[in-house]
Amino acid sequence: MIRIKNLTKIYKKNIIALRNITIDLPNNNIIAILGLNGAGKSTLMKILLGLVKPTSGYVNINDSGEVSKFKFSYLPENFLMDKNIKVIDFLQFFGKLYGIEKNKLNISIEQYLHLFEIYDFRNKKMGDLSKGMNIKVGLIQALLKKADYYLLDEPTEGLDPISRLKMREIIFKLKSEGSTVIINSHILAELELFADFYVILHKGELIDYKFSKDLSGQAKYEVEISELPKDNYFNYMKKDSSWICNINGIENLKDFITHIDSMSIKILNIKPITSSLEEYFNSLIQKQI
Amino acid sequence: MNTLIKYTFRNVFYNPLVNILNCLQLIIIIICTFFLNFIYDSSGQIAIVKIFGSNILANIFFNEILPTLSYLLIFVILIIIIISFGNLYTRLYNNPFNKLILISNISRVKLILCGFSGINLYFLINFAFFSTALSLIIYFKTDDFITEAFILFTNLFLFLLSLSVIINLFGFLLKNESISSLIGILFPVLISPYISKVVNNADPFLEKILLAIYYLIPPLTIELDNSLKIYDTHIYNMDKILLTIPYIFFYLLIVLYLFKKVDIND
Repeated sequence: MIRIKNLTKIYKKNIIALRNITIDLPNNNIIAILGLNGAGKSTLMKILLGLVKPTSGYVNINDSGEVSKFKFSYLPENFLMDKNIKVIDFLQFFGKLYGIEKNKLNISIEQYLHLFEIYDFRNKKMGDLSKGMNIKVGLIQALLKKADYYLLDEPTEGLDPISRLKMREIIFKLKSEGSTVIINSHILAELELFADFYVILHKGELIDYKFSKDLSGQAKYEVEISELPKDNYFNYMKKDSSWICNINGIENLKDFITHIDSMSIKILNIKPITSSLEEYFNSLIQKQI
Repeated sequence: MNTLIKYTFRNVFYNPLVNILNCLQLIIIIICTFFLNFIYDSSGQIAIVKIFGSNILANIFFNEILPTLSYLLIFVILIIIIISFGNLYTRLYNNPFNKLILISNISRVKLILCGFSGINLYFLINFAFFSTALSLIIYFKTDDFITEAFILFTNLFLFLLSLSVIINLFGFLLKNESISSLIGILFPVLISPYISKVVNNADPFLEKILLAIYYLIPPLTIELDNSLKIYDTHIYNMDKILLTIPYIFFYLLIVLYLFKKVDIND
């Protein structure tokens, strides 16, 4: 458990980024940090990583008192590190820093490059890649490291639907392997698909936190699949060359994904139509304004 | 740690300003190899220096042309390196890689020490190659192995190392490469001798402040004078050069202390 106690961060010119935050973040969960711009989400992540020093308060991980004892992996927001470095050199550089053995590192890099479909761009300079591709490289960098905690700052921004889907699968896999994933994102409807625990910040203050299962209301999703399944469980509509199915509720959605996967049908996109998280978040923010 | 030093070394190698320096050194080596020849008299002394096909009396070349050219060359090399330092140190602290490096097992102290070592190691190797190349060219042309080039470049390297730590400090504090380079030049080369001149005429209170400032600045002017005197007198005062070493540690420690305190937020 990450115990955050009375955490305050005041930057120069008296800018208050975080104000007296106290919360326990549960281990082995997917935690979403939500908030408007300037809510203090990124500052909170950087304090957890030890990059930013708190003005007061502390962070205690698993009652050890020492943050550095635990392995963190991090995807910074607006990921573009160095325009002049090649993708492969970048990944090998960080792989070496993370202490991964050379052969194992090369195999992992190749696998991830194939997974995110950027293998052909491995010898390109990062400045020549699109924003989405840079984020994919950043994600690979974060995934190369076997960590206890994965902190992903805006990981889906600029990603195409297929890559988002893959990223979601990876996040679930990390959780199943015992890691804790902390995500900072504006895309609430998407977070609702995988987050277990929500932390809502507003202007540096913690205004609420809760488990996703405690969230009332049901979200609706539109799932696009590549071909028509031979079943009578769901209703499908034809859309150009693909098929659409509307699903109510996150649990039904998870069942549907498993069902479609079992028939080896490709899921092209999952689009939330209405989101209970969005309603919950908006109502909280409205109260603050 | 090696990975980090190699990474900084690579960044220095690909830096456009450093490439200008490399090109300049290559041109000098090419000129010395292909366009510089010596003609000897009957007693075995160099009588004429042939450069680009023109014959120059050895006396004039060694006493007038060579010192002027050397001073000019050293001046240009120094200016390029000082501006490069500004650029390299500012990038070292503004590097977006730092966030990711620091969450691996690399501490802040290691990060800065590796960056500092990588940058200065590059110039040490560069100077070693350049002075060896010049000495070998002279050796093959005159059968006389000279050590002046090594002494000059060792001396210059220590001088640059002192400048390097000052620019490192200001690169970190100001995060502006032009101002850091400018201070790197002004601070030790102009301000230090100016203070030493006015210190005796100041009132007692001001004298104490000026003296404190004076002793905070490495004795770079002495060192630079030493470097240049080698051409004329072969005098080499190691004590004064070694005096800069405590200054190097002092400035480096200040940066390390401050860097441990800052937020890595960029």
